[in-house]
Amino acid sequence: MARYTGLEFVGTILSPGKWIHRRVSVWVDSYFYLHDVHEENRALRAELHDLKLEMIPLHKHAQEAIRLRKMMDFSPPAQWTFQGADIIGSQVGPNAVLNSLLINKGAKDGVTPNTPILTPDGVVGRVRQVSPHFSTVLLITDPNSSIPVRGRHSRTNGVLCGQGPRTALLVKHVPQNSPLYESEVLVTSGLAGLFPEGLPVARVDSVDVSDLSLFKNIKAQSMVAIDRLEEVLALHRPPSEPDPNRKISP
Amino acid sequence: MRQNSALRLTLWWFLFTALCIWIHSFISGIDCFGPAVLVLMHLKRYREAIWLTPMWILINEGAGSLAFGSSLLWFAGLILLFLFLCLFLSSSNLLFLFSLSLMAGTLQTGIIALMAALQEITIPFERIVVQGILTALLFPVFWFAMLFAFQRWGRTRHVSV
Repeated sequence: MARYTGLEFVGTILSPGKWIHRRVSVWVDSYFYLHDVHEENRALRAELHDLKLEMIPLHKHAQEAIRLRKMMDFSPPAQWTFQGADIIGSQVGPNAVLNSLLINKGAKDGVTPNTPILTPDGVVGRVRQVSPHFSTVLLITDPNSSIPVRGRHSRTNGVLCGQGPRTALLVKHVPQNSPLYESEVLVTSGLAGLFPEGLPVARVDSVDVSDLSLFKNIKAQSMVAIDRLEEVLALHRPPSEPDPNRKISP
Repeated sequence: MRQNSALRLTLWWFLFTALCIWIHSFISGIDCFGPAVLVLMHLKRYREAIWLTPMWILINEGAGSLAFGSSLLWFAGLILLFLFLCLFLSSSNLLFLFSLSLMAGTLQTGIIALMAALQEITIPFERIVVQGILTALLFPVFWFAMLFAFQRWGRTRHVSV
């Protein structure tokens, strides 16, 4: 009940302010800066945005094509759909203790718990709570976030865990003898079934070998500048794919 | 006349609640509703405190990331602390306010740590402590601001007293 009233009320209160802020920003930008250059910039940025979006599946397909050429039973990736959402707040109130964002898309827009949230640069997090028109998103930087990932080139699997805002992410469970290189991009492995395979998540920052552990000590940086985000994309599962939230009857 | 007053008072509380939500979105982890309930109790405006508290609990619970119950504990704890301190000091005493602020900060830290442990949620301990300190420091500020505001604007005799 609290989700359907409290979160809905908070979202409704915050939305008009954000809308006014955006309108005023657009007005000031349009009139006080070089109008033509600005318009051109906007068009180029939109084009870049679209190209980046197109590149995500292309990158995945290119890597897959090399590996799967020899295999007989190639199966095409499922067609997920994107939906834009505005960020209208972050942590609101004393109980908002997780690193999270508030977005203006909810259950009525098809958003469900665990819906992947990303930008053209990479994964931002996943939906945690949903009300009819708003949702909260658990960020990948939160210590409670764990995402199965693999190196884009090395294909080494690991689990990417958050350590808090403005702190490096940790890649856990990578054995000492597995290859994973600095600057390598980590993509979702799709093993947990929440995220589709091949979405960029983070870039490896440092790889240390520990004498005390069976696993490598790997730090990574998010591909997305989360502090500067204004819009995100919600990724909707194709109807043909099984929903990991579904209840299985005994 | 009475209906107009009720409408005006409802509008006033709606605007106050909206302002508090905006403050919550700017200062992460802070709660304006807790001090507001205690100021209403201090002003002996129990009727408003009774109908506003459940609404504010719902808002805090809905926007929060902990399971239902944290706000309930927070508000119940604050009210108990207020009543407990009233046994020894007058609520208009400065020592009362500073003791209440300190206890509120400790209560906030305790509740979040407890709820996080019960729900197996990892929250860095420094984050919880900082939130408690912030609550204790801002409590007197909110108290005086609300005391001023409630006496000046949020007052309609026909309804509130």
